Amino acid sequence: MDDSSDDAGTGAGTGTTAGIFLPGARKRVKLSLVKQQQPREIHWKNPAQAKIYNLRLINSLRNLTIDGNGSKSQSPSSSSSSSSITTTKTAQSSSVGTKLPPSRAIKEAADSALAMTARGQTRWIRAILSRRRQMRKIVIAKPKVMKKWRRVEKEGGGGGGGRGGEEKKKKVKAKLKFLGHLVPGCTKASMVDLLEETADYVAALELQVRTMKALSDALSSASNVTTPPTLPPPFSS
Amino acid sequence: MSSRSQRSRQSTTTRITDEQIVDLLTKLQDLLPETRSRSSGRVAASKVLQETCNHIRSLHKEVDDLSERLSELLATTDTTSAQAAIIRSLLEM
Repeated sequence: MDDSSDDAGTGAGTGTTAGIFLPGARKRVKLSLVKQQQPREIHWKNPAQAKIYNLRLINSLRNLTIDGNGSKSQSPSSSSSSSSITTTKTAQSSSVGTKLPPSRAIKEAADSALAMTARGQTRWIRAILSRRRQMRKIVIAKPKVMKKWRRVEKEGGGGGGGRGGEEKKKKVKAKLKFLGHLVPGCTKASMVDLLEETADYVAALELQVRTMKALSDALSSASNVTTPPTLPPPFSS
Repeated sequence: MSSRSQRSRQSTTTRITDEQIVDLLTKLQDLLPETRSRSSGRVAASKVLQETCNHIRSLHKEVDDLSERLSELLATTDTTSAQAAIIRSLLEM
């Protein structure tokens, strides 16, 4: 993945480990494991970041709809506070020739907006960005992978009756593998990496859900009320 | 996962301590809505992982539903009211 060179310059603003970030290297996780945990968690719960993500999502959605209606030139959605590499990537990957189902397209836009907000530090973000570039030519059938691992998980649950040491390890291993398939780009990650990625991914997903819910509520209230709206939509986060 | 066997062998290349793993698991547990900051001493690894998987799956499903809803909304509504809604949501955040 050549977009991993993104990490070098735009490390965590509050972390102090930017100097030892090597692009694509796994060592940096172990070296900066303790220091990185604090800024990463706060990063997703920051309301400013939520705003930035919201803005990006909206921009990309709007560009998407404009693109769907007519062939308009694509303006990069992230014009503020992000590196130039990701900007050009957005421009390239948004000029899609294939027709995706609109819900899928929105999910893609949301994922890439999320990825851009996080500034490409973790694996799943890079996986999402590289996936978007691949999606131009190939439509990846994701549900297949899920079904296979669901069967494995059931076997692991049904087979292990007694809680011996080996049984427990096997169960945990199976669950770890399943988790690796859930988080994008973590199918072959080590356990430590996987756990860290998962925590980050869960926080990011919650932010995504919250933002999209707020957006859809606002849109639905706007489309329902034709007169100038006086009452604000019930907004609870 | 090769890291687990390495841990039991205590090889010099990747020494992952149990403490580290427990820390990560607790951090993960705190993120989940169900088992949030449970005051039990030991974290059950399989349980935490199972709940994490379930939570991620439900979040995925929510994202899919929301994106479907958004696509319908964007298709039906016109641009001006969409922009108004967008500005409103931005102001309220």
